[in-house]
Amino acid sequence: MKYILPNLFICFLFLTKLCNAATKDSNIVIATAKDNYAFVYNKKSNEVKIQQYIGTTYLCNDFRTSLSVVESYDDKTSIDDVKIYVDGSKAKYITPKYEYYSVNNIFYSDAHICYFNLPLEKKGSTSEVYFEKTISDPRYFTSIFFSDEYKIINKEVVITLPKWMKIELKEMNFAGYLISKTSTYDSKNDADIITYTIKNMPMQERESHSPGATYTEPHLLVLCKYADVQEGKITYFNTLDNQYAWYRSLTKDLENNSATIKAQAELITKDAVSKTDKIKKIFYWLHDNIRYIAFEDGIAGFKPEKADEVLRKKYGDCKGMANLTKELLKALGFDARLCWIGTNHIAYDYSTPSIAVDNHMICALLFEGKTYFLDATENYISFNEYAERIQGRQVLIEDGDKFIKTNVPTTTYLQNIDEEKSTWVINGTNLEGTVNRDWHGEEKVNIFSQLNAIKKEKNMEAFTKYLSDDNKNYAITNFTTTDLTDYDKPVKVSFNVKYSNAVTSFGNDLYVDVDFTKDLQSFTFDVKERTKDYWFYYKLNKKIDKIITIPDGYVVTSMPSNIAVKNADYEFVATLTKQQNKIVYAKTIIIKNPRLSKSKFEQWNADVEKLQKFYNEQIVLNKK
Amino acid sequence: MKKISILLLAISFSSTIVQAQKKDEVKYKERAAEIQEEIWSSGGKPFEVTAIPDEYKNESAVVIAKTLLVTNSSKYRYKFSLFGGRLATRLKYYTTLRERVKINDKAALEDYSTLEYKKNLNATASIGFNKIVETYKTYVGAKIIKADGTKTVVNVEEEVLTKNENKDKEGKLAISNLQVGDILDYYVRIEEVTENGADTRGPNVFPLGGEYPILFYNVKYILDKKCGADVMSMNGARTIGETEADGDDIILEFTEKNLPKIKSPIWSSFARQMPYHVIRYGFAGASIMANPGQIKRGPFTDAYRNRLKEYYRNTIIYRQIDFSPEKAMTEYFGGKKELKNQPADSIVNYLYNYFKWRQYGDFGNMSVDNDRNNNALDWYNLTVTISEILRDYDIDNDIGLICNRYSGRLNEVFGLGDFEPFLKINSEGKIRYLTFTDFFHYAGEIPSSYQGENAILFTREGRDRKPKYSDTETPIKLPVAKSNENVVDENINVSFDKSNLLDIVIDRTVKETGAMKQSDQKNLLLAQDVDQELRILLKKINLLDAYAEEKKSRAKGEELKTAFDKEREKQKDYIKAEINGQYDQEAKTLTSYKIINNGLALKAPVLEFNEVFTMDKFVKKVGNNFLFNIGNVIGSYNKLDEKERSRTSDIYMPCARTLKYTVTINLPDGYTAKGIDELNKKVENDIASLVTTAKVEGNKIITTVTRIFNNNFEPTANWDKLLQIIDASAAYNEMKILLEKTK
Repeated sequence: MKYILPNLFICFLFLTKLCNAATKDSNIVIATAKDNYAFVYNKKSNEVKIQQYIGTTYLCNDFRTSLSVVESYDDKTSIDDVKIYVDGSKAKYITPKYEYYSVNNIFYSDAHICYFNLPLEKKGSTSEVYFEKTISDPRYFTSIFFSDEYKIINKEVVITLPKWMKIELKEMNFAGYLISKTSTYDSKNDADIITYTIKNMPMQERESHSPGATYTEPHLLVLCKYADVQEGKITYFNTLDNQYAWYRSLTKDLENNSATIKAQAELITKDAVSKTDKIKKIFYWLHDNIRYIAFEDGIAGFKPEKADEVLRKKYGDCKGMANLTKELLKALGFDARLCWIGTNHIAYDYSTPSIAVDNHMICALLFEGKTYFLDATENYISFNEYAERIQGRQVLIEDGDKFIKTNVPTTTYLQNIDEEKSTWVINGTNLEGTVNRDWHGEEKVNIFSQLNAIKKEKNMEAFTKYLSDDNKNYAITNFTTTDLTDYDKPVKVSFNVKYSNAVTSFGNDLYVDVDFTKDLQSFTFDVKERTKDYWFYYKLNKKIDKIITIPDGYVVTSMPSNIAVKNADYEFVATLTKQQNKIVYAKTIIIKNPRLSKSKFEQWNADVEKLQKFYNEQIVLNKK
Repeated sequence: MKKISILLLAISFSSTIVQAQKKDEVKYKERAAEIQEEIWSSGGKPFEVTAIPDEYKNESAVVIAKTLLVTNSSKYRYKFSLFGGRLATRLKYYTTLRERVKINDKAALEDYSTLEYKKNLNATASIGFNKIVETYKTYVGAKIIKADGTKTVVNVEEEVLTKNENKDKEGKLAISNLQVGDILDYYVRIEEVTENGADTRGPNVFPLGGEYPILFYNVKYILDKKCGADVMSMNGARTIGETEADGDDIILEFTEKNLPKIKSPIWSSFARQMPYHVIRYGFAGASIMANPGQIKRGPFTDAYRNRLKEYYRNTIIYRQIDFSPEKAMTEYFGGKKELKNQPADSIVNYLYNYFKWRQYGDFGNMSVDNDRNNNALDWYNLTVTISEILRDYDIDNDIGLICNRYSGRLNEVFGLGDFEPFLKINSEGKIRYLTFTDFFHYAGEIPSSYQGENAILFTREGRDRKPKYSDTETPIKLPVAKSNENVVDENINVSFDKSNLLDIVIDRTVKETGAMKQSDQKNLLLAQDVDQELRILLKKINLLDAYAEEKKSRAKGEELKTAFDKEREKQKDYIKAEINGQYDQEAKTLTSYKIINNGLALKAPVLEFNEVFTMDKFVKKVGNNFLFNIGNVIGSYNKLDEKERSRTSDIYMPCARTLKYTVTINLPDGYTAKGIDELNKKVENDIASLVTTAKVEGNKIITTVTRIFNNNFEPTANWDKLLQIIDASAAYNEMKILLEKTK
């Protein structure tokens, strides 16, 4: 199960490059492309295979160049033949290379690539590449994508579907593209010929924080249901029951060494008093002691490793970690089960049975009438809190030979608090204050993840740098934190600050910049450039409460006007009030809906402008 | 029938291969077990330590012990073949790295949690019945010592193969059972066997320090008596010990204890400040100084100087000098007679530009981006070629050798590559030096990395093609440019957006000279423009025009033009990056930009460019007035944190330099400025200064900032003086003025 670790940034409220599409120029286009699939039955082995034929003609539009052609394969897909033509002549001098492909965040997989450099010899010339591939198991034939990293002028996808093969094709994200479909019957082979014709397909754009390709790229979701062949019926994933049965067949006979697991579970929980404490001890022990190392090698990409093996190795992938979580909890008498889930990177759910639906495994705990989900790969998340990537997602919970289909709870922005409370006095041109700040939920996870990725001796330095926004005028002393090994509780810090030159003095006036961090200040979208929605990693809930004592003899003569932006997706509120000799500043930045659609970018920009206007004004204090 | 025979042959052949593979695997496992036994039973007390000194308890990891053992051997083997026998030399190189590390946090756990290695490479070649053995095998092992003393040997058979071909295997191993608080003791043994002749091993550089503190560090080379080794110990590192073992093996060894982590303060020269050892070795035929059975201790300045001398001599004797540019030069100057009458500087300058243009490369493959601005020149050949051509025109010159400031010193040369050759022109002209570090120094300009460095000059004797370089080379010291030769001079005009006084429009013209310009030249100039400027200097036809002249190249020229035009669109991104680097913030909008002068020509050596852009973070509203961060208009200066303020090593600054800014602020209508007097500051000492002035002229404020560093090098003792200027500059950055609304 391909599982990609969340890529968090500690200060993503300050991200500014929001239009960074990896736009390629139009020098290369795909003039014609063919992508043909034919189901073939081998009576001898009683197997159905899919033979794929890919033909691509690249056209040089402007000036001679070359491109890297890369075709992937793995344990279930072979590349049987490659033909290369340059300007109409067979290019024998080009030798494809076949190599292991190192996938980001996956320690080892069966992914391989065939690659070579393909010249386009001059403007107007073409080069052609043909691949013949075989997919050895229809379960692994899950999708046909129509777009490419180059613009496609004409493309034809042809599926030769014998009557004995039952599949369902789901047309995904076709809207707005020139895609037409025809279907004919080949009486000689008793097969339907389904043809999709694609015209002027734009190149794929890569943009940061965008939804996964299954949400945006036009493609067919292929559901291989069964083959009704001479030797009988071969069922793949006709129903979700079939898919679960296959998963179940891979997990039910895992021979976990229960004595070892039990001993470890008891050791971990020896000081736990309540049942909940025991669950938490197990969950957090996994965070600290089991490294996430992913293996996606053939069937090992779907079959969890035995729990005692993961325990012995102290590392595992999501499947192995889920299995160890389950077995540790089971050893203590809890009802813990394996779960299959697709993270929010995937647009599908289990209404379309396919291995493309899920990419992750976690553990479900049925405890005191409630179902909890424990994701051991989500380091530092608290028990009963959920990462955005699994929130609301459909999940299959094992239930013997049956399954329970449910959803992971969706939590609101209230889970992810980043709250700062501080009091300040003005001393000359400095602000001196006491600050308390807390992080909860995924904000806490972010802090823990960053701290643990930094070398121990640099931890506090990095932490204070983050708190000061790397402002060297912001000197932190008396810095204390809560226990940074206790993942169950929010992270809390307190410290004193001397913020030099935070106040500007002219004549009888003092000017005070009340907001040092200026969240979202430059966070606007280039509406002309950005093509895709923007997805925040998680919902945000940032609060600042600041009290500044007005120096004796001074009065407030001017303050920025309060702002309040509130809609269904987000809230930006900043208020300044004078209360006796204090100025009270309160700011909240809330992202309720982490999926900001492109249609809302203009409104977002206008709202950020209001924030900018607020940030661009300072408080004026005048000496009476 | 034939088909069946082939099939049978194929089956029998493939079963032979399978059997051979199995045999290899068995042999590999047996050897792995032997090595494991050998390594776990050696190491001694340093590899038994479990306690970490208190001073290192807060470190991410502590290297308790680290050893590197290199052994080699050479044996003659008689090899039979159909055509008779031959004597082959089989060389073996065994390298063993062993490290025992206390893992104190998750960052270190991540660092040490996996091993990647080339497991097996068998490049043995069979030519006819001759077989030349060439194998490379890696054996790894690891054990974990838990806090309670429990030891577990890691099962290395849990490795995965990312390349699994018959003769080429690459492996990865995730270390199992490793947790924070554990001690990891691991080794990597590489065994190489070759009959392909001797190669040079190293130089292997051993800095005395690392990413983590090291409690015990031992490096030992046990070398066959038929092998030689060159060694050198620098910057206070104690001399490497040398003994002779039984059987006449040569043993080189050093041991260090309690090495702290390496620190890298700004403005440092690692090669001149960090203690390190360097070792290079090889059998007869390797490119080293030592003869077989010998240890030679560096530096080898004299020996490599002589080798270079010989190389240049042979280049001339064997007529490997390319004199073809003389034809182009003759045409450039209008004939042989005119050429003879040219002053030396003109000829030197022409040749320098000519070879730069030629090495800058053509654009035949449509590779038009300005990455080529960072390419290197072929300095060894260019020196002797230009030197010899100049001789044809009676322009006396010497080849010089220098070491740049960021490598070892001239008297600390360990390898030929430490020398960087240049030319010293001895004519009466102004051009004294030709250097070949990049495309952006003009004739006569000395790169800042050479300035103040000692150099050796080869003086060529005789005029014929069988030269001799004098035996006593003249040492010289290259001059150091003064601060007024490396100048950034900026003229900044600031106006306020009338519709939104929070936005300022900056019209910035930058002039750069000396060492202050090459970086911007490389980043901002388009490759097409560099090529074109060099063509202008050489009176060559524009590249695109040259393509257009010939019918057969016309189409290609049109393609090239399209490629150039596309690249030109990217220049605005280079400019934006420059603005971002200068101000630590992105421009809200970039209105226009222009490269006024590219600084490539000797006669117009100033890089000059202009940018007009809007910034939106300089002004804040305060009531009816505006606060303007005027100090940041000159760009952001680095402010040092407490850790950076203390320093114990000498300071290698890039160059002596002057940074001048003249800023004109056009006050918005209806506003006056307050706080101008505060902008007049002077902080000065004998090595650096910061002088700022400000005055009001009508509705304009004129400020100047001049920041000067007098030297390119300062001893540690002067750090406090530099801090005065760094602090004053950072403080100026924060200066604000008040734009007060007039009533």
